[in-house]
Parts: sequence; C-alpha cells; structure tokens
Amino acid sequence: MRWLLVALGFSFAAYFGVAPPGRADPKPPPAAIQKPYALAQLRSGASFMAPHLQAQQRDDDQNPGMLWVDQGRDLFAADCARCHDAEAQKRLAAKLPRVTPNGPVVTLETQINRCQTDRVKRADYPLESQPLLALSSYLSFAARGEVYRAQSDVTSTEAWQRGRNAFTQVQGKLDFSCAACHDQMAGKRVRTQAISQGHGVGFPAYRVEWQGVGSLNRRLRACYFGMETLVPAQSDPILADLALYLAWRSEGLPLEAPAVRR
Amino acid sequence: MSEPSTSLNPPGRNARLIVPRLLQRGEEFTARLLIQHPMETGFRRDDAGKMLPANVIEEIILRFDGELVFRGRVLNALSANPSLAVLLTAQKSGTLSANWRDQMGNVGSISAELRVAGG
Amino acid sequence: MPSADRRALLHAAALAPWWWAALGPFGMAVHSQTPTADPPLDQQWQRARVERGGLSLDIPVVVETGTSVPIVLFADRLKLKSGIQIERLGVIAPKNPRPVALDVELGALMSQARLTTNIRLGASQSVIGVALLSDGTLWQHSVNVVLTGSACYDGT
Ligand code: HEC
Ligand code: HEC
Repeated sequence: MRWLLVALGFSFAAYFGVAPPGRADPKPPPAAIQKPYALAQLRSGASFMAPHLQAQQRDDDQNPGMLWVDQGRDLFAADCARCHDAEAQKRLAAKLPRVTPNGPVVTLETQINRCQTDRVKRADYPLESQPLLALSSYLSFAARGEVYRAQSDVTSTEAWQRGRNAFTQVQGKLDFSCAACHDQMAGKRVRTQAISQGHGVGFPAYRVEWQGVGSLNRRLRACYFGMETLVPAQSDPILADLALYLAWRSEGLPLEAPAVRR
Repeated sequence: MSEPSTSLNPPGRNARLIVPRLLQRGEEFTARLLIQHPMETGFRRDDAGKMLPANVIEEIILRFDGELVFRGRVLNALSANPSLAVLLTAQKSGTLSANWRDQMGNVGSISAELRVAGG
Repeated sequence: MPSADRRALLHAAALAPWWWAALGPFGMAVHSQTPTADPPLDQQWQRARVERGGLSLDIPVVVETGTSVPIVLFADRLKLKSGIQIERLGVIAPKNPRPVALDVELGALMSQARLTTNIRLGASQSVIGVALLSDGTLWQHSVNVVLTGSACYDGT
C-alpha cells in the first residue's frame, strides 16, 4: 500500500517543531512526561469508523468477533478456569502488557502461552493461530469496559523508552513515524482511510480486510507495512514495547475488544 | 508476509444462532445466524501468489420444527463470516435449526430453542 | 461483450432461471463499463413484467471497501394483490465475477419478507435487488454503489 504524501499536505517541518523524535532522554523525570492526548481528548478507534462498522461493534449479535470469543470461552473453561475463577477472568486482560524486572514485556498473548506451557503443560500456540486468538479475544471481551492502569514507574523503564522511540522515529521510504499519523493527523484521511489516534484497546479486533480476528501485533505490523519500512517479525520484542507504550498512551480508554475495523 | 499456518475451522463452535430468550405469543422477533466461514471466492491469491480455491457456502436452510423458514440457494456474494437476519413471529415453543453446506462438502449445523410464554 | 462476461451471465441465469428477465437478453441490460452508462433497465424489465413494486434495497451508496457491505432487502407484503406470495429475494451485482450475488427462497414462516446481511462487491456498480412473486412478477430496486477504495491487502 502506498501512502500519498503529497496529497496529505503534511509538513514534516511543522511536525518536527511539535514533537522532535529521536532517542529518549537518558534520565527522564517520570512525572513530567506528557501524554500526546489528555484524558478528555482520548477517542477510541471505533469513532473513526464508518457507521455500519460502529453498529456491528455495538451489537454483539452482529459482531463476527464474537465467534472467536465463543471458542475462547470453551477453551478457557476446559484448560484454564480451574485456576482462574469467574471473577478473576474479568480482570486478566486489563493487567497486561506489563514490564517485568529483567525480561521482555509480557503481553496478553505471551502470558497465555506462558500458562499454556508451564501450567496446562502443552505446546504453546503460534502467534495469530486460531486458539490463541480465541483465548485472547475471550479474555479481552471478559475485561470489556475495564481500564488499563500503567505501572507507576513505567516511563522510566527501558521497554517504554524503546516503545516511545519506535513510535516517534521517522522511518521508511515515505519518511513517516507512527506519531506523524496517530498524534498529528488523527481525524484526517490517508487515501480513503480515516486515521484514528492509534489506540490498542479494541484488539484483538475483527478486521474486514483480514476477514477475521487479528491481534494488536498484526495491526502494528500492518502499519509498518504501510510505512514502507522493514516489517518486524511477529516475535520481535519491539512490538511488545510498542504495545506497552500504546497502553500507557491510551490509559483511561475502556477496553472494547473485539472491536470491528475496516 | 506469511502467517504461521492456522486452522480456519477449529474444533468447537463455529456459528451462532441468536434468538431472544423468552417470547410472548404473537411477538415478532429477529433470528440471526452468524457463521465462521472464509467464503473464499476463488479470485484471491495466497502469499505465494497461488490462487486460493473457491469455497463458498452453497446452501443454508433455516427451519422451525422442521418447517422451512428460508433456503439460501445462491450465496455467492456473502461476506466472509456471514451474518443473515430474518423476522419471525412467535407462535409456539420449538426448535429453530440451521444447516449449511459449502462447495468442499463441509457441512455445519446449529439449533436454538424458542420459548414462547404459554406456548 | 467479452465472451467470458457473457458466459458468467449465462451461467448466472442458468443458476437462477427466474432472473432471466432481470438480466435482460443475455444479460446485456445490466452489463456496462461504467455505472452511469447503464442502459435504461426499466424498458427491458417492463417487457418481462418487472415492476418497481414493493421492494426496497437498503445499501450504502458510498463504501470504503467492497469486502463487507451491509444490505437489507425488504419486499412489502402490503403491496401484494390478494392470493399472491413473495417466493424469492435476490441480489444481482452485475460487475461481480459471479453476478448472481444472492438467491433466497422464503418459507411461510417468515413474518416479513425481509433479509439483512453483508455482501461483497467487486467494483462500483448498480446493485439490483429483486423479489419474485408467485404470479411470476419481478419487483426490482437498484442502487448505484460507489467503492472509494479497493479491497487491498496490507501484507500481514
Ligand atoms: C501513514 C499513516 C500511518 C502510520 C505512519 C502509522 N499508522 Fe497506524 N494506522 C493507520 C491507519 C490508516 C489505521 C487504520 C485506521 C485507524 O484506526 O487509524 C491505523 C491503525 C492503527 C492502530 C489501530 C487503531 C484502532 O483502533 O483500530 C494502531 C494501534 C496503530 N495504527 C498504531 C501504529 C503504530 C504503532 C505505528 C508505527 C509503527 C503506526 N500506527 C503507523 C495509519 C498509520
Ligand atoms: C495451574 C494453574 C493455572 C492454569 C491451568 C492457568 N493459569 Fe494462568 N495464571 C496462573 C497463575 C498462578 C498466574 C499468576 C502468575 C503469573 O503471572 O505467571 C496466572 C496468570 C495468568 C494471566 C495474567 C494475569 C496477570 O495478572 O498478569 C493470564 C492472562 C492467564 N494466566 C491466562 C491463562 C490462560 C489463558 C490459561 C489457559 C490456557 C491459564 N492461564 C491457565 C495459574 C494458572
């Protein structure tokens, strides 16, 4: 896919003036870091979608993502519920992603696989495989309406800083950054697509273009593809770092998976 | 870019048949059928550039206690993971059932109990 | 008309013979390169007892992609002459690779002849909703739908 720079009338000079990308400050004062969107300005991706897609998301009976939720509910009841009771299930998804002291960022998907291998004692599920999407859809659905709370010191972690750098760094043949679209151009259009603020709260989401449910990991790789830059592998830790940064950035927006997107 | 191979029809549920929980006699209601199916048109290519074989649902039959509600005879253009909704009137309690078959011969079915107060 | 297109339309008509009238002679009526240049369909159809009748096709006139377009087909039973039923509801998308998009037979239990679903459209085109009545009459309602983007894939 080719993004038409000229047609955007988008000025990088103006952009650099607002939020210079580049390396994170080595010792950032956590309290001073401002989020791109204040709480009152946060808007879910749904509000940028066509009315019929919004209607499909609002009504579970019309939302094809609910088929994945059904399958995940069954799978969870069979393999996982003995350790996670009904009350706990409602909160699991809202607690992730999370930074661990010495390891990589734990996302919902990696945690499900950790329980799958260490506790259910079976082979882990490939990323984007049907059972993994079913479980993550079910847990995200169970946590619908919950709000993610970032760890208090998250902005001083290396993972967050890597995530922010990846978000603001200009790259690719088109000299874009994630921020150029999702911080600067939300509400405008690239070709025929309205650009949202780029939050992850709707994922896993049913995308019409995918003809199925996909994870945030896949959505982010799709955006890299659109930037005409090297698309990270599914397992690249930068995608988890970005998920952490995005979750901090959208803190306060209720979870709304499985969302319906174009 | 290629995804790890995933099964399109995992074991377990692959459809929803949605009706209201409890109905009054004479009440009009929506019955909605949602099926997980790729509705592969035969005009798409996979990552290797190979044409994906066509496989669309060829027939869907919805019945109430064996009596025909509707029969989809040509469903070529239904979107992937299609949803179909129709209006019915509750006359008596009974079983609403859907059966479908795709081009590759896969069949699916689902049913839901209708409970009509006093019926 | 290229023979492949013609074959597709003949095939479509063979699948659903009751649509011969709506398709016109060899489907000529509904085939053209640009939606605005469609020949006057009404003339063709009037000869075959096609009426605007009580059918409505509710579909967005502008959509971003054709992969899933919501439609509601509704044939109004109040507009029927007595003793006549609505037997089938259908959709023709002349520029789809398979022009017969939908053909659904209605049983007696449906309380209204209404069908709500999502369809694929391969191009901007005039989408034709049809209802077949038990006396052979066709009701039709067509809507010109413009696709603003292609159903392109994003590489993931
Ligand atoms: C050229 C503009 C552009 C760039 C650059 C871009 N995106 Fe996107 N992004 C889009 C469009 C278009 C969509 C789909 C519509 C929407 O939600 O904005 C999207 C969707 C998203 C979504 C899903 C939002 C939702 O609610 O469905 C997330 C999250 C996201 N992008 C993050 C990123 C990240 C992270 C990067 C950098 C790696 C990035 N984007 C780069 C245009 C862009
Ligand atoms: C034998 C008990 C057991 C089983 C079975 C089990 N889990 Fe867990 N799960 C735990 C424990 C203990 C924790 C908390 C410790 C940790 O994070 O590893 C946990 C944590 C989690 C979390 C993260 C919660 C948080 O606060 O971060 C998720 C999500 C989760 N499990 C999902 C699953 C899923 C999905 C399955 C089934 C595939 C499953 N679990 C099976 C015991 C279990």
